[in-house]
Amino acid sequence: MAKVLMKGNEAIAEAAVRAGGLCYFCYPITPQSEVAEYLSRRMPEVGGTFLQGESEVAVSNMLYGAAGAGVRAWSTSSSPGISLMMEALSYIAASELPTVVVNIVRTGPGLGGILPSQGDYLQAVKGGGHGDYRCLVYAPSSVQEAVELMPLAFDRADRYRNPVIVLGDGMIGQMMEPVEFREHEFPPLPPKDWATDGCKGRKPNIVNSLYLDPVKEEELNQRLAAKYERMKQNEVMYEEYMTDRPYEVLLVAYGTTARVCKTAIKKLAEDRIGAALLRPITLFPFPSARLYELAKPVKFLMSVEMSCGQMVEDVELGVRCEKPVYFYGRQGGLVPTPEEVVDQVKKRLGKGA
Amino acid sequence: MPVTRWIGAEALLAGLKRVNVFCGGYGSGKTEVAVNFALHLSEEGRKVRIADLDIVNPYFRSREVRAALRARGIEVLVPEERLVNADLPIVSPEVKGALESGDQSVVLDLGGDPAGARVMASLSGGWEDGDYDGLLVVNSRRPFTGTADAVVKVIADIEAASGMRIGKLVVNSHLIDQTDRAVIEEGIRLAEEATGSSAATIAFVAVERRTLEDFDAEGCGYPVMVLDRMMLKPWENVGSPGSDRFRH
Repeated sequence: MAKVLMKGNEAIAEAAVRAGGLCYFCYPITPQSEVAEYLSRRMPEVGGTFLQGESEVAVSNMLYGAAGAGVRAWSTSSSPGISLMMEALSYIAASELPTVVVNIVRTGPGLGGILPSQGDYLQAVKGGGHGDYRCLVYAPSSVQEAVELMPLAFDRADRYRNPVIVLGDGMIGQMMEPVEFREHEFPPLPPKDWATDGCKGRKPNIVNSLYLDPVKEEELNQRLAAKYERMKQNEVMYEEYMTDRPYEVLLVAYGTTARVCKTAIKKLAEDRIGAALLRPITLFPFPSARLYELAKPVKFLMSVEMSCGQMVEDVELGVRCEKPVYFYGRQGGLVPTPEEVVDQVKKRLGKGA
Repeated sequence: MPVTRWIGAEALLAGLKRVNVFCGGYGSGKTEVAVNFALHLSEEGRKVRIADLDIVNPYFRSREVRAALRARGIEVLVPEERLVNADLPIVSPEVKGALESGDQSVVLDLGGDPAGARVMASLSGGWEDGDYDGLLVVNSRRPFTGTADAVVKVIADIEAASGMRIGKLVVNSHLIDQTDRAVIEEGIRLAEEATGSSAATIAFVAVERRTLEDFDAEGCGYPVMVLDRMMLKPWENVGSPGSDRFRH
């Protein structure tokens, strides 16, 4: 198929359809409403379900029900809407059901504004809802990468029976880039013999997250913890940029800010300053082991974010206090510019701006 | 040497209407075309006003480059500053006035698809008969304008929603930084096919300056507008006058 030009939101929608995500519930919110707009037209063509709920609370509980019945159910929203979904996501994680939720992050807290932000990092990677659970979190940095990550998100949700979050900032959802869709192949999945899809001839399956027996509840908690440990072993994804030549500064950034950092690194190279980038593609699990290795030759690390400093906490943990970790960020929908990143690096190197 | 802005466009420029309304779905490059068109007219010494009527898209609208346009003498009509980032369908009241006063060239950047074009229903008629051109910007690499039939349908839908005639097409077939000659030529063929089965004609072909050396502008048979990208992403706009919405 020839390359086409698509908005991130549309490309996410089409990639999900091709990955068999044929059960989509939503409630519109800027800057991700184009996903719903696209699917309202596309789902009837492929025999899928497009349903606009009365709120994000309704939508997330529809996900819970449909996932329990064994179908590939998913949704998209933006920050305030995602907050409304958190209770159901906790229930879905506790009930060990697969679902995919895309968060095209806008500014906050509260109602915030419609411009891009990375202020939902901690909510996405540290659980978000109540209780002891995690979501696998993917962070695309281009429209093409969003297209590649959607089928992976559905596969991993099914494989781990756990919610998967795709975290893109408003820029990833709104920008246009050329994309290509290709076939993805994954090993066969185990049968969904836990699904509540009709019990004729077998014992009923039950989807539940209520545990009155402390021993049974502890078993669930430990089973979930073991699952997250397996994710840490098997699912870490990252990109390295300019780490194959000498560097004295390691930038860490994901999504849109990683693209800004790449431009900044090229500008720094013109001034003979060696900087490299580690771009986490999975935010949970975080690429801590690789970060630790890559930090060895540097004077310092700098986390660049569209927040007041969230991922920087994982960078600090990853480098085990062995190197200085600095932070540079913009908020409110303003995006760090390559020039600002260059200035920050030079300042920390004592080379003035 | 002056910068080349038009190729083979003498007749086009001599016959321009006072009001030029650019429409097209997102990804068509409508805003980029409208902004460049306004800049080019201004460079020729014309008095130009541009109005951002995009009520569909939340980002990448012409209001984002308002500072760069104003710096070059163009009057920019956008919602008042405190509402520039609201996702509300705001149309500045000055737009109607601009359409009715006859002394300046007016460029309208109309949002998105038929839903976005509906805003024109309250504005069209604000000009003398025959004093405007409705131009659909077409990109053959967009999912819903990839065939001539689809283009003809979009024309009909926008005409029905806006009460305005779409008499002209602008060929702006592109893949942003991956555009090559083949993509532009494919766009011209698509537009020729679409104009063959509708009353519209091709106004001009937009070609990014970078692609000019690969594309035979003189020989393509249509006027060519040379495009300098203004609607840049935050990591692209080092030292350029691009989008200032995300910087401060």
